[in-house]
Amino acid sequence: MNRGKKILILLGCGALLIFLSLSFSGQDISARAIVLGLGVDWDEQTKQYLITAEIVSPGGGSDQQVGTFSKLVDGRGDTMSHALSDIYAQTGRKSSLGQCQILLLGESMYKNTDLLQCLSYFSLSEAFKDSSSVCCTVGEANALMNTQLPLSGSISMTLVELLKDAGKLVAVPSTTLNKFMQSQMVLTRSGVLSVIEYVENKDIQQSDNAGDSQKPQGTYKCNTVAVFKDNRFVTALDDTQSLAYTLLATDCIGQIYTVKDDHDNEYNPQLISAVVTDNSCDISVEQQGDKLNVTFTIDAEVHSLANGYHGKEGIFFPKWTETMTDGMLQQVKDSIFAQIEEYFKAQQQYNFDIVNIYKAYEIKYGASDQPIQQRLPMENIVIDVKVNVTEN
Amino acid sequence: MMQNKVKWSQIALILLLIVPGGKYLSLPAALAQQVGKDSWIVIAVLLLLDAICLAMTIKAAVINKHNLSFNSVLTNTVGAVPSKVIYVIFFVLLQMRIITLMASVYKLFAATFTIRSSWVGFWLPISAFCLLVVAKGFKTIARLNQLLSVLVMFSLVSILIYPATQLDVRNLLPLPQSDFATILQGTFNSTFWFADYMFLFFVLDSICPSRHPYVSVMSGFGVGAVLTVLMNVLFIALYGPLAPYTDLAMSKVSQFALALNTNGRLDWLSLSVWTTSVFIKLALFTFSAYKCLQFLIGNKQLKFNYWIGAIVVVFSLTPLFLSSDKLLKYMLPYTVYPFCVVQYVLPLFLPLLVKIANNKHDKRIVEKLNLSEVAANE
Repeated sequence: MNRGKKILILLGCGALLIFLSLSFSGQDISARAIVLGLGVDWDEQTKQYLITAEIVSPGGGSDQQVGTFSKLVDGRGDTMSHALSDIYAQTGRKSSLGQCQILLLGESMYKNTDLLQCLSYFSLSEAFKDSSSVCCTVGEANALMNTQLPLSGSISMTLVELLKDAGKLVAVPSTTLNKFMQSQMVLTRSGVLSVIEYVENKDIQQSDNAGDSQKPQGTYKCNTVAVFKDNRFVTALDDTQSLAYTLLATDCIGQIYTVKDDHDNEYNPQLISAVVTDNSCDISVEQQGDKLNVTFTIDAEVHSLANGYHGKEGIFFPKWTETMTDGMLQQVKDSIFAQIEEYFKAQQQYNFDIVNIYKAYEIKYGASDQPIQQRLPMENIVIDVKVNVTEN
Repeated sequence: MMQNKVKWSQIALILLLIVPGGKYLSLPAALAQQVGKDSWIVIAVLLLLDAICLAMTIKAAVINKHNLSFNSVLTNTVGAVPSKVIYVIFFVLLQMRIITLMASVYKLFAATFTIRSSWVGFWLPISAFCLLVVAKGFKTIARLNQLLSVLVMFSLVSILIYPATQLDVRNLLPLPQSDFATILQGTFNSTFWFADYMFLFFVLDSICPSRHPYVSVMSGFGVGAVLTVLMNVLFIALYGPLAPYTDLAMSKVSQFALALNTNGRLDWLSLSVWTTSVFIKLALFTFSAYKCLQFLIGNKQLKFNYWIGAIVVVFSLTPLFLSSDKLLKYMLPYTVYPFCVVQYVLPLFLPLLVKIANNKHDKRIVEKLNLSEVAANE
C-alpha cells in the first residue's frame, strides 16, 4: 500500500471518529438525576400529580456528612411525564429511572384516581424496572419519604429491603409493578398492594447535627394490603384479613399465633408465640351445575418462636426439637380458620378475588370470551378450607 | 474471497448463536399481539419447520460432490431467468431482515442505555464492520463466531437464569389460549423472522466434508431453537397479558436478571455482550445479500467488489425515509408469499436440484473427455 493511500485511510478514520463522537448523544453521568425511589401523590385542588423523587447525591468535600448520599426533589404535572419533566426543569438533570427500585403511591393518589394513568407510564417505559416494588402509603407519599429509620439512610433502600428481603420471612407481602399491572388486566382484574404506615418514634432525641438526623425517625408498619379492582381502590384489609391472604395466596411465612401452653411444666410461660415456618396452599375446584366448589388446603408448619429463629431454613437443615403439643397445634389451626373466615367475608362483600379462585377455574375449565364473573358469579362459589398444622 | 472453506462444526456454532440472536427484540411482543400467550407455540412450530429445511440443506451440501455454487445449481436446473428472480426475492428478504434487525438494536440502545444517535452515525460502524468481514470471507465470520460464542452464550444464560426463577407458569395456562386457525395464521405471518439457515445456500461450495455433519449442525440448531422457545416462554410467563404492550423483550426480561435490584444494572453488561450475536447475524445477512447481488449482476470475480458491497449496505439507509415498522407493515403482507417460497419451499427441493446439477456436471465432464479423446485420436 503506498504512502498516499495510508494517509488517506488515516484521515478517513480521523474524520469518522469526529463524526461519530458528535453523532452520539449519550448522557454524562453527572447530567443525570439517578432516581432511587419515587413517591406519587395527587393534589385534588389543582388536579395534578406530585412526584417526590429520591435522587442520588454523592457526598463530596469535608463539610458533607458521611452517609448523606440522596436528596428529595419534588415535581408537579398533569401526567407522570410532565411531573418528571418538572424535576428536570428544577434540577437541570434528566431523571434516570433505571435504578428506581420502589414506587410509593400516596393515599390521596390511590383513593381518588385511576392507577392506570400513573402506572402505565412506568410499565411502558423501557428504562423503569418492572421488578420494582409498588406499594401504598398511609398518608402522603411525600411525608413518608421525608422520614427515616434510625439505622439507615436512604428511605427507598430501607423500604425495598423491608418489602423484598424481609418480606418473605415476616409475612409481609409485596408486589412488583409487573405483577400488579397484570393482575388488573385479567379475570376479575383484582390485585393487591402492600400498605406502608410510618409510626413515629417520639422517644428518639433529635440530633444537633445538620443533615438527615433532622428527619423524623420511626418505624414502618407494612403488614396489611389494599385491594384494587380495575385500577381503582376497593378496600384496605386489616391485619387479620391480610394474614389470611398471605396464607392463601402467597408463600410468605412468619405469621405469628399466640397459643396457651398446655405442657405440664410450671416453668413454661402461659402464652407462647408460634410462628409459621413453612406454608403451602393448594386450591382445587369442582363444578357442580352452576355452583363451583372450591377447596383450599393449607399445609402449615409452625414452631415456637425463639430468639434467633427466623423461619424457613431449607431442606438441608436439621429439624428442631418439638415444643408444641397437639392441643397447641389445634389452637393455631383454629386461629387460622378464624382469620380465613374474616378474609372471605371481605371478599364476598367487596366482590374481588385475590386468592386465584377464578384462575384455578380457568385452568381447569378453559378460557372463554365471556367475562369470567358473568360466566361464574361470586355468589355461586362455595368455599371449603382445610388446614393441616404440623410442627417443624 | 471464497477460497477458504469452513467446517460443519463452525456452521453449527453459527446457528447456535444466530437462531436465538435477534429473536428476542421486537419479535416476542409482535407475536403476542397476534396470537397472545400462544406465541411460543408459533415459534416452536416455525423452528421445527426450520429444522426440516435445514436438514434438507445439509443433505444438499453433502451430495454436492462437485462443490457447485448455489448459482451453478440454480442456473443448471431452473434456468438463468428464474434464478435471477430467486436472487431478487432473496435480496429483498435479506435487506428487510437487515433493516429490521438494525432498527431493533438501535431501539435497544436508545431505550436501555439512553444512547441516541443519528441513523447514519449508527449505520456507519455497523456497515463498516459487515463489509470488512464480508471482504475477508465467510471463514472470518465463522472464526469470529467461534471466538465470541462462549461469551455470548454465557451472557444469554446469565440474563435468563434468574428471571426464570420468578416466572409464573400460570400465565401460560390454559393451553392453548387461541384456536388452531389463529395459531396457523400467526405462524404464516411470522415466517419472515425465521429461516436463519439461508446463508448456507451461499456457502454450498465452501464447506469441508465431514463424517457427521447432521449431528453437529442439528445439535447446534437444536440447542439454539430450544433456547429461543424457552426465552419466549419466559417472556410470556413473566409478562402474561402485558406482553403485547411491551416492545423489546430482552430489555424487559433482563431487568429481572441476577438479583440486581440492589446491586445496580449488571444486566446491561450482559445485554451488551449478547448484542454481538445480533451483529454477527447482520454480517451473515450482509454476506448473503452480497452474494445475491453478485450472482444477479453476473459478477464472477473472486476478489471483494467494493461497489457491490456499497450497494448492499446503502439499502440500510432506508429508515431515513421510511421507518422499519412502516416498511414491514406495508411490504410484508405482499412479500410474505414469495419469501415463503425461498425460505421453505426451495430448501425442500434443494437436494434434488443439487443432484440434477451434479449429474449435468458429470455429463459435461464426460462429453469433454470424449471430445478430447476424439481430438487426440485425430
